[in-house]
Amino acid sequence: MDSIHDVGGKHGLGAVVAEPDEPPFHAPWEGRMHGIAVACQVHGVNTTPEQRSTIENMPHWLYLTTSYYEKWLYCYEKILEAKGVVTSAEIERRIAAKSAPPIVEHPAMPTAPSDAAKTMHRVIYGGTPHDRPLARPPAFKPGDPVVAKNLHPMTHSRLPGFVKGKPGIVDVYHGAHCHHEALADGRGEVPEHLYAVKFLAKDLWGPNAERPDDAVYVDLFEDYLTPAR
Amino acid sequence: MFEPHSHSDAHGHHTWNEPSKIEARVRALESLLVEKGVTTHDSIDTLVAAFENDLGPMHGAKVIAKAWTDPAYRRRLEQDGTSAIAELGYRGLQTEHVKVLFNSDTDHHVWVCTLCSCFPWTLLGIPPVWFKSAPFRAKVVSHPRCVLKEFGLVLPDNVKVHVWDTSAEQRYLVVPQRPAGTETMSEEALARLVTRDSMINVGRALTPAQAGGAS
Repeated sequence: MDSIHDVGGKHGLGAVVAEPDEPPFHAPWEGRMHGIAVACQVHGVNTTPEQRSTIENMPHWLYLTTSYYEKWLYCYEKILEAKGVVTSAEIERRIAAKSAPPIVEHPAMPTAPSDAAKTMHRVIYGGTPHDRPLARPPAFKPGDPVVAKNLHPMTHSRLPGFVKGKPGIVDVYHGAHCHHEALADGRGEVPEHLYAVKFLAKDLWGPNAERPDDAVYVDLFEDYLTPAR
Repeated sequence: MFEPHSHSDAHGHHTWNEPSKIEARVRALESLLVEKGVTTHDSIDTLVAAFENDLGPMHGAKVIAKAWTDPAYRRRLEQDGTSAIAELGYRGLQTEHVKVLFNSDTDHHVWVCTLCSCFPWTLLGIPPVWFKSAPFRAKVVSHPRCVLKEFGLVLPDNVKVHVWDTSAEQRYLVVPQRPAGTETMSEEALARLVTRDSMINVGRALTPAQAGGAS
């Protein structure tokens, strides 16, 4: 969807500000929020593309004025309510009752983990690969000239606005991976060929490119591409 | 106060919860999810402990130091980054598919996630706020030299810039140039020169002097 998250190439967003010696989490609730998000995915409540899609549906003003983990909290309240797992009313009642146990700050790795904690450990240290077999051969190979399609679906997409309609060259074939759009829409695992496509700065930014022959490579699913004429 | 489920999106004057209210909200959410059997407190402890005490750039640094010292390993990294990285025991969440990019005197590689915040968690840990924020994501694709300059890296005109947008589940890792004067250093000592920023490649690897006697 054409939302505020798709910021590549936008102007006027301010300077890049790096924080020296930044901790992983700036407050204990941020770490808990990260854990809640991964736990929901491990439990099969939602997928990563559903999480991204929900954040992309935030009002633009809210997206730009909330911190990273505030977006995650917004997102999981929306997802959990929509799926009937936890309602907003339940959260409000729990807060009013002040009955939730305190957040554990800087916990140690559990020495006698529950089954759920063992699963979490396995996912964190084993990963969840996204490549899948696909019988249909890839339509493109490295070196092929392509054009990124001009698509504007109202639903989740991983085609950044700044490459739409632009010519590029296939640089890398990454194999077939689960398409994010299907995972975001609840259609399950639909493998699609994935490529890194090279776009020259002069084709993306015209005469305003810093250097015409610098390049941007974007990972794009095959159905985002057409052969160049 | 912003109310996520009863608000009108048209009312742009709402503000987000104060941090203490956010903490109360996350605390309530965690306890409800535990009661409903979605997760356990120790499962969330596991994730926090992994990121606070283990996962981080020291893992990525070991990959880089080996690439600097072992030509056969470097070739394996070029051919199949995921498998070569797994040789060192690293294959985790958000690090399932990794392409390794090799910096040189003529080609500068840097990577970004313009659409969200994709990052190889196993190798580099939690992404820094600047990486996840709109200014970097917006600007590095159109004005990479300007962004690199903000980080203190001024590239000569003869260096080509290659910006990689990690827009699917493919992750990237840059092998920065090995600093001069490190020919006799051990792999372990070399790893201490490799910073998170040098693997995103908005900064150089440290010199032994900068690293404070890492040799």
